[in-house]
Amino acid sequence: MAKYLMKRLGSALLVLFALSLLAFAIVRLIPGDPAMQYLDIDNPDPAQLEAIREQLGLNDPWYTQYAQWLGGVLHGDFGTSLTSSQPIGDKLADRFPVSLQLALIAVIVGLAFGIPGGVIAAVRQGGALDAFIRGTAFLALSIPAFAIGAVVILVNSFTLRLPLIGYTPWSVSPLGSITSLLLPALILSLAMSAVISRYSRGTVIDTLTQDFVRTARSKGVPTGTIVRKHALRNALIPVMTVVGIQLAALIGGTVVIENVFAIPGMGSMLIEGINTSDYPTIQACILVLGACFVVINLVVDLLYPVVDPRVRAS
Amino acid sequence: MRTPIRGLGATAVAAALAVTLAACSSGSVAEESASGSAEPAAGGTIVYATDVQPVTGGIDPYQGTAFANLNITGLIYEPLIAKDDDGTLIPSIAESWEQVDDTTYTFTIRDGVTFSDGTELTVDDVVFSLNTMRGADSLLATNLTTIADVTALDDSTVQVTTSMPDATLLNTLSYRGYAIVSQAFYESTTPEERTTSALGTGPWALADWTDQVSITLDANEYYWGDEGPYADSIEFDIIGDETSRASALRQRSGTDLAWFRDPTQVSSLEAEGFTVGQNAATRSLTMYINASDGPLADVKVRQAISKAMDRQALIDLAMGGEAEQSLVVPVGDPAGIAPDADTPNYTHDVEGAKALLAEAGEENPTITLTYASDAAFALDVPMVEVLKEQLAEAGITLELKAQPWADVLNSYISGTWEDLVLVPGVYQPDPAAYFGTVLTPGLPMVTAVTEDSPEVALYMQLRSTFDEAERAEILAELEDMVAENVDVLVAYTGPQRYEVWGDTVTGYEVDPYTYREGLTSTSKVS
Amino acid sequence: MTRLRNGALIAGVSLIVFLLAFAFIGPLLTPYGVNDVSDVTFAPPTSEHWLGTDNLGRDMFVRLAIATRYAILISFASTVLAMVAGTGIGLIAGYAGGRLDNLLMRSTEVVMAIPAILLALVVRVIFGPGFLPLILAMAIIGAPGFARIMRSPILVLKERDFVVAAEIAGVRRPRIALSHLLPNATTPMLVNFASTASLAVLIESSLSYLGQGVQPPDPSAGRMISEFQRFMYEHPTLVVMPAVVITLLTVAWNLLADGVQVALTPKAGNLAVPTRRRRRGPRPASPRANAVEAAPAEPEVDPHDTPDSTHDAVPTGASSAPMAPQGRA
Repeated sequence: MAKYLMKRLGSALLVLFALSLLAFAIVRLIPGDPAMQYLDIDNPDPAQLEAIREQLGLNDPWYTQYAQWLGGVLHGDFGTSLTSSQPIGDKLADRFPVSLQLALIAVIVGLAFGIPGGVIAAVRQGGALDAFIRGTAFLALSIPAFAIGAVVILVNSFTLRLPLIGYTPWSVSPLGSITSLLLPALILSLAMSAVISRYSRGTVIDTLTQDFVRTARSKGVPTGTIVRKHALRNALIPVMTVVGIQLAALIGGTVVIENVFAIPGMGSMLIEGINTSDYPTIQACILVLGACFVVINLVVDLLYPVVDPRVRAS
Repeated sequence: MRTPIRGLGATAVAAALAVTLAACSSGSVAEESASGSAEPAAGGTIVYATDVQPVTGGIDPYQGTAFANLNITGLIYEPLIAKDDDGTLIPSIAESWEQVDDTTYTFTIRDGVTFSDGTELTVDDVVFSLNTMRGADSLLATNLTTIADVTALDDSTVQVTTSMPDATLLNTLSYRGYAIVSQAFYESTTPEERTTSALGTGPWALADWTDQVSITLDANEYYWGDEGPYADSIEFDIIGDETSRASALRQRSGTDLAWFRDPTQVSSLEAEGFTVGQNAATRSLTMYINASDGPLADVKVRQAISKAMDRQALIDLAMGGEAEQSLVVPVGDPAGIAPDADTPNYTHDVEGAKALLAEAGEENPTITLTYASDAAFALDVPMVEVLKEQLAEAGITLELKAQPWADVLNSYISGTWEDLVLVPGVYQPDPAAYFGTVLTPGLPMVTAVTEDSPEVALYMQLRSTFDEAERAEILAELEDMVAENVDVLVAYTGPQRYEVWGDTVTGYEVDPYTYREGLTSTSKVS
Repeated sequence: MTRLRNGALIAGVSLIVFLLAFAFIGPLLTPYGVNDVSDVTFAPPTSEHWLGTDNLGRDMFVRLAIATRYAILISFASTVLAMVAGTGIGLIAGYAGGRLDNLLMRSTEVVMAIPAILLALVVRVIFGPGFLPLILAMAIIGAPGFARIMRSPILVLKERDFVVAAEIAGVRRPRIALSHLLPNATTPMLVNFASTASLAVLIESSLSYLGQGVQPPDPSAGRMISEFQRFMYEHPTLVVMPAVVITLLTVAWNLLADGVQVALTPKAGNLAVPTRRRRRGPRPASPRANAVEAAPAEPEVDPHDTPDSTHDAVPTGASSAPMAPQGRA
């Protein structure tokens, strides 16, 4: 058990280290002079260049620069953006909660649709409802989120004309904030709902065919009770793993969906960074987003023995 | 025949056009507000949706000199003198000025100019500001190299002397970026602090800046102007996406004004009854030429490209007609001259282009055009795509090379691009400034001319000629010469931004160079 | 049930064939070049322009066809690359075991620890926009999936009697790998191929939507959507058509993935109901079924490989296997 935990922790740290190297390498690997990136977009001035080069300390060897950068990152100092006078760390502090909020709403929506969807499909296995749910899940996994978003915005602009684009900060109105994220979260959660419904359908069907369920059935216990009391609980263990992985996958999804709906989160920050060739910002976003992914996966791994005694025993 | 489009003429035409449009559109929101049926109300917050916030340098006028920075600093700070819509110099902090001789100027400082914290502006602040902006650390210094000395003659007079006759000086000093700051504030703050804090004499003072969300300015209660701000504050909401900004305006959920890069959005909004301000066309799609080697070293090939370009078709297809043909000085600049049938190499002539290529012995040259792939430049991409097809008709293969803007800039500044590079130009304080990166031999990006080229001599003459009429003549001659030798290629010129507003505000008047001075006279409608 | 699932294969194959025909033959049927501009802008569908024209008067039918061609080529090329690299890594890791295995598997974990679109963006930032960086990025994203698929059956099979017997009999290791192990991995490989290709289409279109993928004047369905959102009030079909093209492509690959799985694992039957069939019939003896199935009822007990191996193992349909850990674009 302890060995298992150490192993997972060790591998997570290893991945984080590799990730930090990769993020650091972005600025080193881009062609051209990194100092050039600091010149401004509407009115370039070559005179700035030398001062910038000095300020960046570009003459140190790479490992010194890496150590300095990593040391800064560990203290919350992600360096200076090329396009904004606000430190990247402060900006991350503004943007990260927005993405987290979006992802959490998406998870709730995903579970709210995914688990009942899967259970209903399992109970109605082979029926029209089953086919409908599985078909929807298939499409949800196939169509890219941005295409769904674009079409929804398009249809809305001709029909309801609801204010779909933009974000209301939590500090302004918590309810308005959640409302402004509902649709993006729904679209973001589609893939997750689909995967969860597939998993829960499979596990519920599996449980329903087990001996103790057959026994219960033969004793006349209604199907609804069996599903609630036995099938669901057994089914949720593997589903939980999926939720963890899907939460991590949502992080990737936010990059796109935030840009479709103009939500000021980490994903739009990353694309803003790429669009303005703001490499320190890109670096910070990749590192933070990747680290979230690693941490969530680690938490899932560590929770796994808690919910599944077989792992604990090994 | 060539008529210089003076700003006055352009504004008059624009105004007439606006009236016609308003008269044509029945029942539009714009018409209602124009007819004055809605009552202006004092106080309140004007909400302006904008696409960018100040970049590097923030709101320190001497560190942040980009268009995005100037949008905010221009409202907080004021220059020594200013320009009206037709480009005529007008008083600002200096209530009058005099050119004593070719190299000496005196400025009389206005009484009662006060910073937004209540302290009075003194002649020492002006001397300090001018010396700081021409100092080594300032990004503004490149345009002020001729200043030899700045001294205070008395409590209200500043004297500036230059080392040689410089006709660009007054124009430069009237530019919004050349702001007068408080010496006490500047000396008591660090450069980092000044990127997010400010103390100016302008009508507005910084109240709050939430990164990438909004910037709020409060009315400066000490403002010297007779027509102080009507509104209590302005909130600039930062919304990067054009469609989202348009939605914000349409939803009428608080957004009063917005500006756009995309003419398509603007014409949709105009059709829906929003008022569109007439901003001057000052953003030129300029393609710089690397004539040091390759096919473009031959002037005939360059001329062939210019002839093979159908500039009007570029405008119609890529910009939906919403741009203008232009020479080096953008046609929206008060000094700008519109090209005409006599402008060398500007008339679309595929056969002429082929003939020139044949003469040059380069019947099917391959030309590389480097352009920025960043989203901020997405609206320029259709031009590049159409250009490729146009040049193909004359047998020229245009290779499109998309690069991140930083790399484009890199190759431009170091002069290492291949054949052509697209670097959009911005408004400059003096017409001569537009030629700086084309006609200054020695700069890495200047390859088509040498010290001996006649256009270089003429350019120097333009910089040192004070007489306005004479200047205009020199400029016209210079533009012809540059077009003849194709030292640079200009595809077209459009506004830097289009300003659009609805019926929730009144009194807003566009100043063509997007300083948004009109916000002072703008009030909410009750 | 089985007929329905074969339907997936048939539908997938026909859709792919249709898209291939559209992409490769379609442009030959019209006189327009892919980048030909004209004065006829924003034309509605007519007998001359079957799907109308765009803002520069370019023929949308040809542009969508070429966009489809690029999407197919990019997804196919990158998936082949991913398969070759991933299979190699998986074979080496599984067979060699020990430190090398550990190193290789940790490396795949690092790649999988970064959301797919982030990884693609990193590659794009480093190498700039263009076709090759796109293909490279998606090959890197896809390879770990193949490596894991290749490795898991080897771990099982290595202990199996016939492999041990072969080794004792002196058959050289590479031959064992080729003759026994590779065929056993065929089904999950093919399934993974189709769903990796589908993921590649998703990522390519998402990157292009964000302006980081295919560059102008080359057409891309993803970029068309973002580019034409400007015009969506007046010309909504310009946004809808590329969205349909992307959907058809991903649906085709996913159908193919589902169909192939059913066609090649008859014993497994209905994928989403693996255990019912197994309990009814005799437990399949073939190692192939073992490699594919480790039903939710018996989750992988070896914690070393969780959670990813859970996905390789649970046959809940093709898309979930490679997509679950990577997530959607």
